[in-house]
Formats: sequence, structure tokens, C-alpha cells
Amino acid sequence: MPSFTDLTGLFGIAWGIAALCLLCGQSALSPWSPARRLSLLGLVCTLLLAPMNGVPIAVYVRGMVGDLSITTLLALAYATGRSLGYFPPLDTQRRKVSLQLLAVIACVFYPLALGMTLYDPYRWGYGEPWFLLLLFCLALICVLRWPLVALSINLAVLAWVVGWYESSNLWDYLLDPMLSIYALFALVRWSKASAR
Amino acid sequence: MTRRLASSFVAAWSVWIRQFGLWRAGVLLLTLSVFAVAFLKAFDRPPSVDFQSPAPLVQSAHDADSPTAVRTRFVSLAAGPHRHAASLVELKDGRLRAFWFSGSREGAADVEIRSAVFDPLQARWGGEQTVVDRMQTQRAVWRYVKKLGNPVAERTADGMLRLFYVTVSLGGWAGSSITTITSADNGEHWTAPRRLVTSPFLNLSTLVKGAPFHYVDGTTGLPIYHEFIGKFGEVLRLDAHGVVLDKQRLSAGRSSLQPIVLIKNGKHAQVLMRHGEDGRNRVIGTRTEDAGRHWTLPSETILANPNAAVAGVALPDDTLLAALNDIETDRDALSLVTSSDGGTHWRTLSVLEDQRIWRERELTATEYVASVKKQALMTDTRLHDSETDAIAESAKQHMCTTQRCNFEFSYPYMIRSTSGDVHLLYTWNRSLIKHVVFPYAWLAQRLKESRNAELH
Repeated sequence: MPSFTDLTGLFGIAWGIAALCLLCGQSALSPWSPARRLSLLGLVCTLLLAPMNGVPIAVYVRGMVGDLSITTLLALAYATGRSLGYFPPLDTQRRKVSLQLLAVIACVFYPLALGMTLYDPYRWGYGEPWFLLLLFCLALICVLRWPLVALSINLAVLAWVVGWYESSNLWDYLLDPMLSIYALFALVRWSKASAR
Repeated sequence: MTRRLASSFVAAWSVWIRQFGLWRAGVLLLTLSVFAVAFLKAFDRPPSVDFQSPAPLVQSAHDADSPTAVRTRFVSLAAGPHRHAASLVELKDGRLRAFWFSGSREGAADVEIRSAVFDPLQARWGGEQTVVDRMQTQRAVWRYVKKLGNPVAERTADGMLRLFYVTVSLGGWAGSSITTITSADNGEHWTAPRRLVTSPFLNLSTLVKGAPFHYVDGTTGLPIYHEFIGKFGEVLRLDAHGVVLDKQRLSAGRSSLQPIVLIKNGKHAQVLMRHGEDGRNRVIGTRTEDAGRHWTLPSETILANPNAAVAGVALPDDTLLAALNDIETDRDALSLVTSSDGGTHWRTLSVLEDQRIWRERELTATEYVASVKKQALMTDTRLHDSETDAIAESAKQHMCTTQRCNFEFSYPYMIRSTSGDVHLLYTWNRSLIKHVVFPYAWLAQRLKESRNAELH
């Protein structure tokens, strides 16, 4: 039986893949009712978690990409809910600013964390009080301007506090390479569209 | 009066929530609550503390009838598998347990972590046994595991055994992560494997090689290294349950890997690292004088290094011992060296292996087998012909290509036991693990004699 952190990790991977499938197939699935599409989401999730030759497919994916950050899971949840018509569209300008901020953080964070210099920002995630203070201030600002982002930060920090995943580092709950790559990709696509 | 105050308070809050918005008010309340708990967790983190100084020697180290000669033997004589990357730990009862990875070849899916126990009183190794394999690890960590690698063992402050080993899910060693198991009975039985998350990029590329050490509060310092985009060394700090508390960087870029941390006392430690860049050919060093809160900039030491692992221990009198391939290319020579000035100057105490004479000419397979048999007998004079034949065939299988045959003595691992003896393990021609014991009396004598020896 998987431990709690393995269950959360596997479920996160299954949910992430299922949501991506639904989002990528939006146009093909648009004739379907929201309830039917939600059922498909559940079915894909179940298939990814069901044992195939004794090992769920999610195990193979998890071995390669690790656990998805809480921010990624929430973003996928909102995008899925939006495609099903349950949530309103996000403000384009706010979405752009958020993705720009994510992309900048990722472009600075990952090279440093992967050994470019002697300074390692990944270390802050082990409970540096001033890093938490920075996040707290950011969350407070977002409460006024964009509560959804504040909620995302709060849930990531809460997940870290309760030990939702195996990682004891807060960065792994806030950010992951998949989200960073998406942010960069979305910004490039936007700037190409603006140039046209 | 109280009732009036309470109702005014509630009315004021209702007005504020209506103006601010129920949604925003809820998120604000959540923010305050979550971060209050988060700050409590952050302030509960163990503070930086000093290193645990090396353990004092037990009385037997000073007995007149303690051994005085260096002794060598092989950990296991079952020839055939590829064996590499041994580590060693002293058990509570004074015996030693070794770990290594073994399989058809390095990186194969059949590689397992294997172990054997040495009894110093009987001066012999017990049979080898499997500790963990790829499928067991995969089932326990609920992640695909492609192969296993370097194991490193620790005896925790509360006497448990903890084993860290490298697991790869994607690609080569650059895709490594660390998995850990513990034992409460000196390694007879182990808990289910658990993954350590130590890197933000898909948890890729963290490996172990150097011996763990302890801080005075019982937490563990585990030297690790990265071998993905960068090659650099770090130290992880772990609590008693193996949860990562902190991480410190020792080097950066692609300069170095496989750090070993030689603890001199509570505040001072010297780190030696394998160089990671072509052309540098020197061991990289860094040191701390405040128990690892700060480290000096990494710099080249005087010790030659052919991009190969280094091992070492610090003796109670601040003398450093290191075992390494102190040559600039290949791994066909291995020496024991010492420094009495904290790692600035080094002298050779003993040449453990040296097969460089064969570099200039290509050995035939027959000559190679004869040489390996001779080296095996020199290691352990009790070996029978059938055993040396099997050893030589195994070495030929692992070390000979169609072009030539090579010798390799690599990946040393060294510990100092509580008796004062220094134990060294290293890979011997990728087929066996060789064990060398430097008795306390021998070390004391050689260190005295080496004071006038030539410096490196």
C-alpha cells in the first residue's frame, strides 16, 4: 500500500495528465456535456492509477518528472474547470503578469539551484524565515489585487507545512519545471501573436 | 455593556466584509492562518550547531599485542559479478559492514546493493547478501527505477543503520536521486526504501559517495554531489528520521564532485573533492572554521587526481589521511597519503597499488591473467589456485576490451574504527572489493617515519 506522500504524488501526476488530456482535446470534446467530460477526466485518472503489469502508468511518469507543484495542480484545476464552464475566464492582463513573474523567477532560480554559482536559492525553501516573510507580503498584496494567486501561495505553503509530499522544501510546492516551461512557452506565443 | 461591544464588533466586521468582499476576506483569513503556522514550523527548525568531534579511541588500541602490520584481503571471493563503489560502517558491536553495488555491469538493470560483515576478532569476512534491488525499490517508492548505484552507510546517533543509495529513473547517472533505508538490527533487516527529494529540477542528479558525519545535536551531514548540467559538491543536513533540514553548497559550475568531509574538531573540517573538469587534474579542496556555516572558495590542492574518487579520515591529532589515485591519468595506481598541516602539504605513507609499468605495452590476455593472479595472491596468500583463476577470469571479463586490458583501483572508502585502526575498501579491477587494514600501531610508526618524506 503506498504511503500518504506516495498517494498524493501519484494522484497529482494522474490528475495532471488527465487534465492536460482534457485541455488538449477541448475542441474535439466541445460537443460533450460538462458532466460527460468530467467523467472522462475521472476515467483517465483511474486508468493512470490502475495497475498494468502490477505497476500503474503514473509510477513511470512520477519516476521521470517527480511530484507536481501545488501551483501547477491548482492551475490545471482552474483551467479544467474553465473549460467545463464552471469558472469564469481569467483577466488576460493579470494572467500575463503572473506568467511573466513565474518565467522570471524560473529563469533566475533554476540556473542558480543547478549549480551556476556558489549561491543556492533552493536552500531558502527549508524554512528560511525571511523567504516566508517575502511570500507572506506577496500573498497579502495578491489578496488585494488577485486573490486567486494568494490562494495558490497559501495552499502551497499549507501543503509544505503538513508534509503533503516527500519533499521538505517549500520550492517544490511553489514551482516545478513543467509550470516554468509552460510560462515561458505561453509568453513566447503571446509575443509572437502581438508581433503579428 | 459587553453585549453592546460584541454586537458593535460584529457589525463593523460585517460592513468591512461587505466592502472588502467575502472571497477576499476568506483568502486573507487563510493567509494569516497558514503563514502563522508556517512561521512556527520555520522557527522550530534546528539551529546551526558544531560538528561532532571524532570519537576517542578505546583502550585496546594501545595494547602491546595489537597488530602492527598492514593486512589485506578481499571482501568476497565469489568471482564473476561486476563490483564497485563500496562503503563501510562500524556496527555497535565493533564489527564492520560493507556495502557495494554488484551486477552484470555498471548501470545494468540487475545491479543490486550487496553487503557483508567483517569480524575483526576473527579477521574474516562473512558471506555476502543482497540488501535491496531495483524492483524492491521501485515497488516501495512508487516510481519507475531504471538502475541502482553507489551505496553509502551511516550509523546514526541512536545506533540505527541508515543506507543511502543512488537510484536512476531517467537517463544515466545525471538522472540520479537518493533513496534511503534503515535497519535496527545491524543490517539484517531493512525498512522499505524511501526517496529523498534534494533538487528542484525533477529531483534529478543527486548522488552519494563520501562518508556521512554527525553534528553535536545528532543530525547527520551527508556529502552529496550533482552530475547533471553542473558538477559540484554539497552537504545535506538530515534529522533523525532522514528528513532534509538544510543543504550547503561546497563548489559550483562543473569543477568538482564526490566531496569527502574530514572533521578535525567541532569547528574545523577539510573537504576534498574529485576534480570534474578536463585538464585540471588536481584534487579540489575547501575548508570551514565555523562548523560549516561558511566555506572557503574551492581551490586546487597539491594532490594529483585523474577525475577519480578520493577517500579520507581525520585523526585526533589533526593529521589527515587520504587514499586516492594520486596520478594525473587513469586509475592504475593508488596511494595512502598524509597531511599534518590541514591539507596544504601532503606526503605518501604507502603505495597501495601501482600497475603503471604496463601502460607502455599492451599485455596479452595471458599476461594479464598471470599478473592479476599474482596481485590476488599478494592480497591474500591463503587463496587457492582455483580461486585466483576465477578472480583473474573475472577481472579479464570486466577490464579487457578487444584492444587492451587495463588495471583499475578506484573508488576508495575509508573509516577509522573506535579501536583506532583505519579500514580502507576500494574497487579492485571492477571485480572484487579489496579491504586494507592499517592498524593503529602501524599508522603511528609510519606517520613518525614520514615526517622527513618528500612532499607532493
